[in-house]
Amino acid sequence: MNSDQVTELRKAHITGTMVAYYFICHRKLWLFAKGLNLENISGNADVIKGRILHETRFNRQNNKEVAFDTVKIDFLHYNGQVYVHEVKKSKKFEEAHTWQLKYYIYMLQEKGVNCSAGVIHYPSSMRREEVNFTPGDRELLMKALAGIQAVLSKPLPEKKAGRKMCSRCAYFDFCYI
Amino acid sequence: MRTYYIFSSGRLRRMDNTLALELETERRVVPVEDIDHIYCFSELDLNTRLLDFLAQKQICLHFFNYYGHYSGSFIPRESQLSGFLLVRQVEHYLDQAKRLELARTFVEGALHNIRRNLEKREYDDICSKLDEIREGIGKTASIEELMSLEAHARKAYYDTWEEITGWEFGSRSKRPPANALNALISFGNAMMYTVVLKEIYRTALNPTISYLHEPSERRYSLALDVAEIFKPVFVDRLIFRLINLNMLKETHFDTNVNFVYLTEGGRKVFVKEFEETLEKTILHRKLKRNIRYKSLVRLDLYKLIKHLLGEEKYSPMKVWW
Repeated sequence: MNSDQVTELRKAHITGTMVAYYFICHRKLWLFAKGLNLENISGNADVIKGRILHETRFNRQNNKEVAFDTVKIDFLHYNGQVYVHEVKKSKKFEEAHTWQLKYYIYMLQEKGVNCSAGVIHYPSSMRREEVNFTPGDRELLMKALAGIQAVLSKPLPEKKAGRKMCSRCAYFDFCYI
Repeated sequence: MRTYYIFSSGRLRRMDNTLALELETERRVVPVEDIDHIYCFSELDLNTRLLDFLAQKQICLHFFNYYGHYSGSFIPRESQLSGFLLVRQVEHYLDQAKRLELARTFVEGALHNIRRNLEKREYDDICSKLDEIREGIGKTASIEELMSLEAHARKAYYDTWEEITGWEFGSRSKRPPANALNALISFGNAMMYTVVLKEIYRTALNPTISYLHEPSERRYSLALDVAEIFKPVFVDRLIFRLINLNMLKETHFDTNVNFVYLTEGGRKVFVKEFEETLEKTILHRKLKRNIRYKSLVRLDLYKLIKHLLGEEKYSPMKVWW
């Protein structure tokens, strides 16, 4: 991917959440990106639990909620290099969470920050997953970012997924009514 | 999440990280996370520190004046914004055909729900009259024509009210309502309007762009459009119940001025039952789970959004019970 394309991606305002949604559900990604965010209004129990986790865990960390460009990182720590940390409620969408974190690492690298690894925390199941950013990841991530743009350029959202996971989604009522 | 109604005068203030209502004799503390929105029917002192806190917690505060008329709302800064959806909303307003299509659906939904109230009471002749009117909806060529059709239907509907309630009605009178029934309708409709407004506010829909009502008619006219559908089910049925069960009596109305309004006691009876109506649940046939009456409003807004996106035609909530 050349530098022109990279600049274009920046303009697309892709957030970390959008990268994660790309790996979960294209319909949710489309709706979210168009400003139709139902997470905070649905009263979905999982969403509320997740918000409370965010508000209560890791409060003693410095460098919380580091925001730049279009991303907002849960927290950072330094140990020779910068490590990105992301807090999640459930391991169900681990692949999506991994790519979200890798996107943060990529964005930091673009800023010239020495960062190539991070940790996903699952405090409710007392697990942590370490993530390393490899050169191969960069290419896969570029593909995903292009994929996100393709989804967002469509005039209509993808049809509802009709999968089992839908029933626990904050967008369930919207999709299935 | 609950709705709080304030009937006594005092000071509403932020106390640490929660809300307190200070009355002359006591102080009541309300857990802020539990508040959905607050209705205020009395004189209240408050400051910007409170408003800032309410905004942070996304709580609406609605004010009613001495006569129970809606004065206005404090509504926190919009947290849900979608330029994309706004453009679509405007597009559906500016395109006359698209606007008429939506306006017709609102009337169609309202008339269906009105008809259901009469059908249950076996007013067969008025029902068939309503059916005739409904058939005309598709043929209307303008909003004005549609509005006059709706007015005809409403007149036929209201003609049955004296019989249903046993109370004097005459005809619909507003600002000011001439008798107790009219006062109840006005008050109930205002309550319904705020419920819809609150739900609209939680979505990315812009409450000022409407289709049946003219956007300039009132500040948040989209709430008027959507309320049309729900009034027969949430408000009218409640009025019939309150009167038929003798829960509201002459003493609940003040007729000392040259019009009629609900007394504090009457309002208390009304909002208590209204609140219970909103919290009632019903098995939704499409979602296949129990949902609250008040959630039906949100679901209709979702359907409206899908219509605006061009995904699926809007079909308003048609009462099935």
